[in-house]
Formats: sequence, structure tokens, C-alpha cells
Amino acid sequence: MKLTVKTLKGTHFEIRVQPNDTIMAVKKNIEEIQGKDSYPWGQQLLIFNGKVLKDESTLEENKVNEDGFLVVMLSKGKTSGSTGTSSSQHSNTPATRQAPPLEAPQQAPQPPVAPITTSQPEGLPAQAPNTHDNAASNLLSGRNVDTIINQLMEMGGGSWDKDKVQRALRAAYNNPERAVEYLYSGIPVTAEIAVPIGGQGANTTDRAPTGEAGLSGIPNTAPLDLFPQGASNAGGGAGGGPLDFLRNNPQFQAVREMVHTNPQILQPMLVELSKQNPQILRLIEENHDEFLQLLNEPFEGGEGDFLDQPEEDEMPHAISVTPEEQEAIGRLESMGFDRARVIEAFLACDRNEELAANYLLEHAGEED
Amino acid sequence: MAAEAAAAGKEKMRTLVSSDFKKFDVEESVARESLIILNLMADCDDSDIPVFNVNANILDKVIAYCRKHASAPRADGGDAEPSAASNKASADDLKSFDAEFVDVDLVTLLELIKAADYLEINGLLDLTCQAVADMIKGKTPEEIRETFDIENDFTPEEEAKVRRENQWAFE
Repeated sequence: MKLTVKTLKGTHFEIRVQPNDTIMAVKKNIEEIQGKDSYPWGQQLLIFNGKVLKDESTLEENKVNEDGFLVVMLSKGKTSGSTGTSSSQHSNTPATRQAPPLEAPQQAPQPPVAPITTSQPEGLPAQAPNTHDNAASNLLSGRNVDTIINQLMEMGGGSWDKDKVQRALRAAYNNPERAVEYLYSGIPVTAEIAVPIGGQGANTTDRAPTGEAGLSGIPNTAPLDLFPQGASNAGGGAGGGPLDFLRNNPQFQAVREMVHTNPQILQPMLVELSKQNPQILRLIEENHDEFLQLLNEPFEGGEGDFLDQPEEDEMPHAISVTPEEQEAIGRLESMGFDRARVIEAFLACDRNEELAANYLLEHAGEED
Repeated sequence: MAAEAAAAGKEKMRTLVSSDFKKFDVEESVARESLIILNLMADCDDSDIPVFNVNANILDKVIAYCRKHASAPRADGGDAEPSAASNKASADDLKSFDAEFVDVDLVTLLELIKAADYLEINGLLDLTCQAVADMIKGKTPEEIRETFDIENDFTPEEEAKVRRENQWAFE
């Protein structure tokens, strides 16, 4: 179908698209037609009916048809904005809060990421780091939190107290834009629960500067380090290859799972890894094939019962059940059915005990 | 209020662009009256905000509405509670503004409804829809047809049948 695309300059042009094209594909299409200099896809914002369209969604999902039109505009990189806040932050905060600079890891000689990027489609390697930086710049590092809290309190005109702002920030994983949204519309219960309960937040690492000890529980206050204990174990595996230690590494398993669901995430992760853990990256490059093999191995789902309470350092599980539902599951189990099947049936039947019982009885003879 | 704050240089201004590419500078607090623009402001950094479903004439009126309502004191805003008297005065002021605001020709009113719907300005949508409802209330079908320039495409037989089936509405 043909789609009209309007620009803020008052011009418009037409593009040929399919309803099942993703917004990302449409952006690349526009980049081809209008030229990389005018409309680089990484900076494009596509707007339809007043809504900014998400890259991974399709035209069909956004109900875009030939009758309507898209608006294309360029977003200015947010990196400049974030550096501005951090520089003003230094002058405002007391000396005790000043943390040592975090640039040390970046000064280590960084091996080129070329061998791994060869499998990426053209144009992606150059773009991915920018996209990643932009995403990261929306999140706050520990030193900026206080400034942002004050700014948000000012923004609320005194109607938001510090505690409320901090809760919103925590629920938004330190993304100020999301926090503002929460402050206006109320903090969703699920968002508040999702914050790690244990002593250390899921995203924090041992390498957080001592000056920021008070903030270590808040996500995004320390640099991301993929496979932190990896370097010490490297080369230790006697039987397996040099990357064998990654196989049982929980961080790597999480990364592998993410890459399986979204392969494009690999590039920004490797860029981050080159900053935080150059030794591992060097190992990966030297054993490129083995790394790809490890990535492509099927991963087992987490063991253990997902109805158990989360351990202290873990994030709460996605599926939660009330005590009544626990009892219902217990009753169904006492009818002589396997616990795993009971849970599966219970959830499949929308947590309705009677329906689940009928389902289990009907399918009692069937093998899994 | 919003205008004074902007004049004092305290409030950030944003530029809205209409479908005919006219630009309107508005205070952020005014633009925030529209949920669509509120979301776009977050995504568009400091760029102009496209409002390409609304022409300049209508957007100008919409901004006037938002400016008036953004500057009106609200029960939930500010520390000091405004007195009952000043509350009543501002409510009366808003009422008369709203009444005057919708005293426009039908085409403009329908355009305002479309703009309010697109921009998700609930107060304006309620106001304009109520104005149309008031134009319908208490009128016969013939009068309504005349008001909204609707052609009667019923045959006399069909009309008689509809009247019989909906007798209660004609009593």
C-alpha cells in the first residue's frame, strides 16, 4: 500500500509499504528515499494519530492504513541533555558524595568488536552503540539521582514529597520520564513490587563506588557488568573449551535467553562488555565459533517450583498466587494429579478451580 | 497565571505545528492539558510538536481553551486553599468563558469536537459534545434535520413504520 509521510518542514512524500512491515522497516525505507543525511533511521520518530510508533510494532498493529498519514520528525540526541545534568550536579552535591570517576575500565585497551559484528546486517554495527547510549542516557546514575529528585519535586509544584518522588523513581527503575508518568497517573502496584527486596538491587555490582553506598539498592546506580566473576574463572575449565565457564554462569544464561528472544540486543551488550570486562570480550573474540555455539545452545527453564517464595536476592517471580489459590492448587493436587500439571491446568483455566478440575479429569489418561 | 509565569521566564515554551504548518508557541503547562501532546512532549525533546490533524484556526481556539483552563485554580494544586468566594468567582468566570467559547457556527463546533477527541482534552470534548446535545434537546426530528442539514431519506411508508415502532418517543 502507499502511505503519505508528512514532515515538519511542510513537505510530504509517499512510500510503499506492507501492513505487516515493522516501524523499524518503515524508518529504513524513509532513510533510503530521503537520504541518510536528512533522515537517519536511528533519529526518526514516526507519529500516527498523535502517538509515537514503537520500532518493533507493525503498521497493522498501529491501525495505519492508506487513508491516514504518518508524520516523520527527527529527535535530537538526548545525550547532551544528560551530560548537562551531570555537570551541574557536581557543583551542587557535597564533597562527601563525590564518587571517583568511573572511566578506568574504558582506558584499558579495547579490542575491536569486528569479528562479532560481521554477522550483523549492514548499518547496524554503527547504529547500535548510539541507540544503546541513547537508551542508557535516559536512566540515571547514582550521582544524578538527587538532582533529578529535586527537579521532579519542583516540577510537581510542591504537591509531590521527596518520598513519593523516590518511590516513583524506584518503580521506574530510575527512568525520569517514566517516573513523571507514574507521579501523574499513580505508581502501579506491580511496579513497586518489582523492585528487588534483598539487600542489593539486581542491577548493582560490587564495583559501585564507596561514596554511593547509600544508593546501591537503587537500580542503575552502578555500571552494568556482564559475567563479573567470569574473568577469574577464565581458562579454568579443564575438560571443555576456554569459554566453558560461561555455560554455568547465571548472567550468561540470562543474556542467552534475552538474545534468543531478541537477537538485536547482542550488539549493545557486547559494546557494554567491551567497556566493563575487556578480558572476557577478548576471549569471546578468540573463540568466536565456540561463543556462537554456546549462544545457540537450547536453555533449560529455571528449575524449582515457581510458587515458592523468592529468595532474598531474587526479583519476585512473574506469576503470583494468593493463599486461596495455593489452597485450590493443593486441593487439586490431593485428587491425585501431578503438581506441575495441576499448576498448568489451574493457570490455563484462568485460576478457576472447577474448570481446572474438569480439565484434569478429562485429560487424565493423556501422556504429557 | 500560566502566561504570567511564562512572561517571568520561568516556564518553558513549546511549539505546536498545525496541519497548515502555522506555528504556535505555548507554555508547557498549557500544552499539558492535552494528553496526546503531553506524551509527545516527552518523546520530542525540544523539537516542534506536530498537530497535523488540526488546522490553525481550530488549534488557535483549542489553545485559548487550554490556556484559560490551565490558569484556573484547581482544588488539587498549590499549598494554600483558595477561599470559597474566589473559588466561586473563578468557577463563574470559567462557566461564562465556556458558554462563549462554544457559541460558534456548527462547522467550527464539529471541528472542535474532532480536535478535542484527537488531542485527548477531556474537558473540551465534554463541553463541545454537550453543546451539540443542547442543540438537539427538545427538538422535533424535522427541526434537528434542519439544524444539522440532514436529508430525510425515509419514504413516507418507512417513516410511518418507524413512528409506529417508537411511539413512546413521539408522545
